[in-house]
Amino acid sequence: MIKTEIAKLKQLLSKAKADFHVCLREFIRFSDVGMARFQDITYRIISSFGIDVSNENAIIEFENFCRINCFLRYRKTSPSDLIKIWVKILNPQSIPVINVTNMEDFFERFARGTLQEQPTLITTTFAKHMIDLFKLEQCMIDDDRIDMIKLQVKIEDGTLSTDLFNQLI
Amino acid sequence: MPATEVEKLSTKFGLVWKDIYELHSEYNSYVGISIQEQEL
Repeated sequence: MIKTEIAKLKQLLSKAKADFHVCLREFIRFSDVGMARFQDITYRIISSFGIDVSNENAIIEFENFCRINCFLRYRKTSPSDLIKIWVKILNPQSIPVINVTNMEDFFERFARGTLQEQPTLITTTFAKHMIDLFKLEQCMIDDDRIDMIKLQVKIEDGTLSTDLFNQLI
Repeated sequence: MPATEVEKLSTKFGLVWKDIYELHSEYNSYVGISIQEQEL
């Protein structure tokens, strides 16, 4: 009897705690994080902060909320955190090899956002230049595949500056 | 939000106090909307 009551109280307490936090669903709906961005790109950004985007009830703690805003709004993320964030955004599943077409499409859509329906000269050129840069820095397995491990190393050692990617924000 | 907490976050994220208060207010507004929606 007492155990049941305690279990009920615990349940109420956890619900009350959740009530005073923002969950992923509300965060995406009301904040400007997903504004003019493709949904998969928004999810990649949020996921890079350790939030489980597969669960729309995932709680976003205030500190994480600050961290995300430091990145997207205030541009105050430390250089070491920027590296970690971009590595995760570029390769959320830590796949060793990514197809050039997929990466180019990702850059193009990230640069364009949802306000433009079709790719523009600027966004396609930007995406192509990013791939050219990866080629120049020998991050390729062949013309069609990017070696994501090499790419990560080049980002971590600063050869590929996070400033390149920050242009997308 | 207690000043000590604001100071801690301000130092941690390199933001001024005003930014932390604004973020807190924004965060709370989402919490408020969420609670209101649950009640409806």
